[in-house]
Amino acid sequence: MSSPLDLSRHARARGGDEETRYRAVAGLDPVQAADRALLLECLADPSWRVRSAVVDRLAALADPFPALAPLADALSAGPTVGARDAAGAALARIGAPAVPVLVERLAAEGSDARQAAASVLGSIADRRAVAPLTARLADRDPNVRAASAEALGKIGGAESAAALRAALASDDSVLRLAAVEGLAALRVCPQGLPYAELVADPALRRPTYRMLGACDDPEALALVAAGVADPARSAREAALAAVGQQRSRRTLEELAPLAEALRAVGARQPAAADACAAALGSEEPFVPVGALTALAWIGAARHARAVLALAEDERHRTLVEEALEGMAQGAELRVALAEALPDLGPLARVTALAALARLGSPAALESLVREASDLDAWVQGEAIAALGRIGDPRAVPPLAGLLADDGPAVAGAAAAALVRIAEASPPARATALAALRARAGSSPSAALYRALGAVGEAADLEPLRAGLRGAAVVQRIAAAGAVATLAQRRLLGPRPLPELVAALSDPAWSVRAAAARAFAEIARARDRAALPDETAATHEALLALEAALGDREPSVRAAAAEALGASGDPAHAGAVAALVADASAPPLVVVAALRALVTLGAPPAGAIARAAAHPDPEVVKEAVLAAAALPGAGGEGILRDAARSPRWDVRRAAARAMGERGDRGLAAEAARLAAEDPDPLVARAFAEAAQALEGR
Amino acid sequence: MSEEEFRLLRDLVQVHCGIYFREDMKYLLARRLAPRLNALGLRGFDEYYRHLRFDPGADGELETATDLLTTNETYFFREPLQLRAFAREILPAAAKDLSPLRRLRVLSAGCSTGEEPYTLAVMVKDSGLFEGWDVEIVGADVSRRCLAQARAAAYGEHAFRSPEAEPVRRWAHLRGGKWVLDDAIRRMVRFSAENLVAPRALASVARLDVVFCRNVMIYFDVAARRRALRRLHERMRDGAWLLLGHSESLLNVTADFEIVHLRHDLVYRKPGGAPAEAT
Repeated sequence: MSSPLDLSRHARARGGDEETRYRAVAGLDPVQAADRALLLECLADPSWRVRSAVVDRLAALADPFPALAPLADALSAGPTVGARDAAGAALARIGAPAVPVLVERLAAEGSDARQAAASVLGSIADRRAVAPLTARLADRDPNVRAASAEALGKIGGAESAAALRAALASDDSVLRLAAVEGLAALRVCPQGLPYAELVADPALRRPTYRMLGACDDPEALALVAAGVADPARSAREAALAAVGQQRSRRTLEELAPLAEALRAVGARQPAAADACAAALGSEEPFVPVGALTALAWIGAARHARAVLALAEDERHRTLVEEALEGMAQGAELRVALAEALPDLGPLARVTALAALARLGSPAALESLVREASDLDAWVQGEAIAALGRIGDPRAVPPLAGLLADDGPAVAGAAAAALVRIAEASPPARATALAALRARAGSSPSAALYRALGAVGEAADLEPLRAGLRGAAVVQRIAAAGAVATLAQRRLLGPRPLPELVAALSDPAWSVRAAAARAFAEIARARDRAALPDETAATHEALLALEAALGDREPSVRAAAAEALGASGDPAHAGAVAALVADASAPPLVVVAALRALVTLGAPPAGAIARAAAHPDPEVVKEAVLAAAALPGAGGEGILRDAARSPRWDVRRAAARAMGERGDRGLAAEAARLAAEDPDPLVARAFAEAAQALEGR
Repeated sequence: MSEEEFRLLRDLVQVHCGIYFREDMKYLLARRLAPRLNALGLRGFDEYYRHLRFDPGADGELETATDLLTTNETYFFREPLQLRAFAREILPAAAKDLSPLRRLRVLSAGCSTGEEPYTLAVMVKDSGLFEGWDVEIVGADVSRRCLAQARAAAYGEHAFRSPEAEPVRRWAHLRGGKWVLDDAIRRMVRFSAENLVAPRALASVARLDVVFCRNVMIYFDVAARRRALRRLHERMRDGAWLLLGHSESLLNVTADFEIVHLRHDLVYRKPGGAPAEAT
């Protein structure tokens, strides 16, 4: 029996102004049958706000079962469009529990009911709906077929993609369109499709371009390039979105064929570049990315202003820099940049100044140098990085002056910029190195040591040794890191480094870890250069590293294991294996020890199997990579198990390990997984593994 | 930054603070985090990911990374149209509605280095409508580093790049090459470290009359947006105003707020508007 209070609330939910109904509905308890019934009735409220409040209340049900059938009824036969939409929204918010009732409604008599059920199943995106929705691709009603394809495009996975691919062969043009749109939404582009035919169909052109953003076929890149010059703006933008997607998936080197094709298009149709510039303002995320990428290849000075406008947005600044660097470097660009400068914000202004400085403007370089000391950290950081990119040795003295800056971020940025300048040319390197050496004695700093390691020569080991003895912990860490970098660059001979051995006993654990990592690099460099390592100093270092396996700090134990692995001496395998066997060892240590055991060529099968079942995914990934070299069914089993992991990164590690294992017997399995994996990144890794294995 | 590195780092940040980076924001992630590789002496983003997972100082580094990724360069009087609506329509309405209590609470969510809350403080001050009132502008951000800068209230010339920002200069004086805001303005603003998607977000904030939450929701997925807006809704008095960024809307996120068409802007409002209640 309803209380007077209930009656009053129910009356308010049914009558009164919008605000009254909204508040009354928000106060209803969907667990109570009477309130639930009223909520279902209010799905037909004329106000969107009230209906949304109903959806919120019903979606919050811990046990939604009693509401499912009435909601499904309202979805098919609600009195108004608003009521049907609200019922769909509520079912979508309820999610997985609503799947069975919706699947059931896919077989309803009315086509509207079937279409609505398919749409909501798409919103829920539950894999259980894939098979019934695939069956509906053959529904007698074209709208149901299209809605089912759209839903499959939202659910994703290999089965959905396969169904959508099959739908492309249909005679139904609406279904074909929904199928291409679905594949594009999934960022899946099946191999072997007649891409040119699809692009030639005016109805399919735009979604096909978007789908080609995920395509690895070289033929597709040529089509995308041609699409950038399509007469229709919407098609051009779709092609640019594909360029943008390709850019975000691959390196510029990998996109060389696309660049070549676009340059050819730009040469034939100069207006294509203007069309790219016109698309820079698009709000669709990948379109400006594609337009900037294209303008780096076919842009001209007249596009500089439009390109620079995007530098105000940090998401695009890297691409703006690339685009400006790609344009013909001459007087025309200089004028365009100078004209744009007054209208730019401070950060985009730095981008423009950098482009001008690259064109040889001394005033722009001087402005940048001043900005590198700006009080605004954003401007300062951008200016320092820009000076590094320009690679002009005249920027070396002011940057070297920043190496001892109180702010580690500023000093670190200056060091990185100096390293970039040194990489620009031999004279620039000589200037940078001279500046670093001049300061090494008088103003040592962590940033200076890092730059010295990256730019210096064998003779520069001496200041680094002094750094290892320095008072400041950060400097000792940086000096050890710089020694490691010199070793990586094969500039360290077989010389004893007592300071580094001593650093393994440093009171600061971070110095001990850095020293151990440096020994790892030294060992790798010796291995690569086949240098003798039988010195007494080496022996002493190895003993110290073995002792470091028992360090209280996990980072030190991990680095020591890494170094002992890199030494290549199997005599250490037992001590390292003990770390893997230690159930209390943190993931970091287990990962490093596993890696070391692989390098030593002695990964115990039991340890790898245990690690493959570890709760931490990083350990599992390392175990999977180790299992690549584990002979027999044990190793193969670990890879197969990992290929079924719910984590995408573990499956990707499994794909890599399959490729590395080199067992042709796994080729079919890798190909199957490539076709089935729901994650495009992982599917691609399995495809690469299959290709590598088949080619063996 | 490879696709795999991007996804691993993105997922880590999302788990840490609920902020989600779309795929087209990969360059932003790479650009902002690259200095950390230099600072830590790491060779690539894979090493950085491992550092964030395992280093004993990983918690601090994750904070630093979050700071770098969520901090946006800003300036005084950004998006002046909306601020015009605040000054000419919302403040006079608030002065009328809240006159019985003579108390005004404004939240600047995602306040970064403080330019927005100080802009709001100057506007409240210059309106002359709240003399003798208990006024508090709360600047909230997830980044403690930004909040430290905000509390220092010292700004370079770039912060005044908007032509509309001149009124702020009247409440500041030059010291050591920076414009330092006067105590009269600083006292009006309090800063609080807040993660809007955390369950206890804004727990220390009194019932709010106006909320600026501009360009914050773009970093959240829909579920996180709903959580954050629910929390804001709870902390707002009936009739309180909500101002989002010009490209943001609540469509398909929540119906808890009504849309109000002001002369200068479209804003949201918590329905109701009963006389202000003490909290």
